[in-house]
Amino acid sequence: MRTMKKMMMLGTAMFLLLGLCACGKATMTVNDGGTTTEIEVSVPRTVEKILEDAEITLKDGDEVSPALDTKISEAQEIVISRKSTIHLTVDGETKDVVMVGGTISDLLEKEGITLGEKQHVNHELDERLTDGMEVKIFYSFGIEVLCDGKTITQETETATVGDALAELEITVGKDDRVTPAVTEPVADGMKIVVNRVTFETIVEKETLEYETTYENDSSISKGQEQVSKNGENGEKEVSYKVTYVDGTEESREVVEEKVTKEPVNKVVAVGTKEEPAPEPEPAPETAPAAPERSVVSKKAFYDCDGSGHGYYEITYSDGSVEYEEF
Amino acid sequence: MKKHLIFVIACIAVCLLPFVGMAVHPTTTSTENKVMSSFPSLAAEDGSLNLDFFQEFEEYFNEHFAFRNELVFADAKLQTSLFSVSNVDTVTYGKDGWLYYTSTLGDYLGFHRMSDRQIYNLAHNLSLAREYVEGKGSDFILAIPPNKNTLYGEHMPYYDSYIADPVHNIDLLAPKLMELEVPYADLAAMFRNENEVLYLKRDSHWNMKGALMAYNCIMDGLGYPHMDYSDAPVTRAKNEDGDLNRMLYTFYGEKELNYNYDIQQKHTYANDFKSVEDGWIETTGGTGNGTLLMFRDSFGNTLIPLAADQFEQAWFTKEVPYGLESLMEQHQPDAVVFEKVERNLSEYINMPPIISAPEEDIPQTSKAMMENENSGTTIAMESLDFDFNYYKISGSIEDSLLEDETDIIVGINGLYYKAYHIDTNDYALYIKKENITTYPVEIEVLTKNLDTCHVVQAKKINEGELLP
Repeated sequence: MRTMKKMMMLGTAMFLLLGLCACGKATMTVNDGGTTTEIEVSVPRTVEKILEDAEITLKDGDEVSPALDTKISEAQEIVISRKSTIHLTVDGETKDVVMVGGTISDLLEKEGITLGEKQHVNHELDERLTDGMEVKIFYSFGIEVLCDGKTITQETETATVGDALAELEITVGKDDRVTPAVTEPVADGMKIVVNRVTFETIVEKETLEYETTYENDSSISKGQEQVSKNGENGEKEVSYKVTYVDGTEESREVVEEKVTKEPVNKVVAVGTKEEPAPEPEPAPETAPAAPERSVVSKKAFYDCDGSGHGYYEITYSDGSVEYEEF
Repeated sequence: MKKHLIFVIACIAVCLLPFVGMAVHPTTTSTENKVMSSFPSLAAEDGSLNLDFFQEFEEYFNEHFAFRNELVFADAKLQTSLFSVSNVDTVTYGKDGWLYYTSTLGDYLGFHRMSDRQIYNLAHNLSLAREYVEGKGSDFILAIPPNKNTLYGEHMPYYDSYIADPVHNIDLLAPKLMELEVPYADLAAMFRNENEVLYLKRDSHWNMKGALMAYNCIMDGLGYPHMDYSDAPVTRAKNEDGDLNRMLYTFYGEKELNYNYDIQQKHTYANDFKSVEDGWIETTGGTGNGTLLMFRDSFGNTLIPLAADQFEQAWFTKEVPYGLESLMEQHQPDAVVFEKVERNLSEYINMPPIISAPEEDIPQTSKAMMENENSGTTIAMESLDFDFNYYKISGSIEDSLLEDETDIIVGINGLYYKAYHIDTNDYALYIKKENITTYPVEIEVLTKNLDTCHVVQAKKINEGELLP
């Protein structure tokens, strides 16, 4: 009986020892989308248990290699490929693409996109895909920018002219002119011109010419004229807003006029007195001279553009009218 | 009889083992954050008999008996396994093996929520610090790492039904900081928006991935260009021995998984660097431009290597209260970061940063005397313990004179200064001693609501009444 008991105890001890020998430790590597976890586990152990030890949870659609129920007995790499929804934008249109694992390169391959010489993607081609990732395919363009007297040649990936200028750190003032407009899409070989527009207010003194007025005078014989008051030119200050484009004057407009000295009009007395008819003289041998023509009135008419220019309407004593620009 | 004798001897041997074992296997290391006591001397310093010998020996024995750490671990393991409770007061044993600081319990349950006045005071004090920093031409940002149970309360033990208020101090403070224009890296919002757990299970801090996110959030908030390390190679390994794990299980607790980023360090340490736990750390040689002064706590341990790489020079300090003015004058940093964990936020209303109080313009027309001149308001003036270059003027204001957002102004010899709001009804301000030239010092305390000021107390203090 005692021998039997001893044999049973020995058998149990042997069984336990064998069990211990069979149950070893191994370091597993779990590659979860590029993040590597190294964990020591007792083997044999299923992949599912190893992931549990590594505190890694799987979501619907994720794939594991080897499969979850695989029993592993020695150091091995477990690879997890995560299901991800990628927001892919090509030519301004966005669509969702579902991938399991993979890189940007895999995504392009799946979508049948081959990047052209001028086409780029906003991530590295070997970057792993993650859920919710925004992937955009865009173009680069060779452009020429003329600004501030310099010509800049640039390869740009920006979408609009405004973005391209911002990339070149060119600040566009609110009055500056950009051709094509900043909202225009960039095209390969595009020439963008930035004209700097500046303004200056200048004040100039200008002469106000006097007018001549005619008054009938019965004390003066008809046909005779006498200056009863001398004319004197006046003066005015005109403020102009001058527009310069790249430093060259393009236009100017009057913003204010201030008369600093009023002109004094010239007054001419025109005789109206009838003289008694003189004794007829013997007819001259030659034909008499035509009566002398004199100015009756000279009125100024200013142009409506405020420039100070205009024309005079000159009426002569013989009734004729002439015009003179000033 | 023989069996009984063996049993008795065995019991005595087990009881004596910790004592006898000291001869061959004394405990020489501790996980507690204190210096272990040395063996007491029989003679006191003056040569007389040391009457405290037995008391000191007891203390020595309690720390050094053989197998102490192993026995503490065994006790902790038994209590957590069988009863799901911690045997250490400072650690709360949660579900799924999670551990928490017990000191955060009040905020988690909502029992020790700051009052509206305290929240305002906190934001007010930080706005004064911000005003000072920006006045010196530097950039400022505040970062508050949330308590672990603010973010991951689902692993707290059975306390759920005892939660009096689910709103945390950090949630109350955030809008007030915005109102007072205090630049703030909202780490709580950032972590709450993440599905992944970014704090460690058996440590009170974030894991390395969380640290990296916090670093990016702070640098983004400062608006400084920086590496985001999004493409740095990353591995996970089960080698993290958390602070709470050590407090509970000494050296034998199970380690946990943490992230490790393979980042080539560019900075070097410019002072005698021992570890990221050092109170003062200077670095140089980062690739970024500018300089950084960071007031931080233990959450900053993992931020230091990341931030130091982004600045030509950086200074990291754990000092409390912050010697803000003195360090700003010494280093003139481009950026200043205040980083303090949520559970210690009250330090900003108990020990605010040391700066000369900013002046306040008080039109005489807006000033009125309170009818009750003998209010309960007090005024005291003394040298500041933390920095003897300053006087500290402080006191309390009668409760009835303060609304939630009443500011406190202190007049000193005719000039008026914005005071820090201390706790609920107290105030304090610092002024450099060299700026006090007239004695007696005439002090007035005013309350300010919108544009109306009331003098609530006044006092004259003679030079002789001040400590040097």
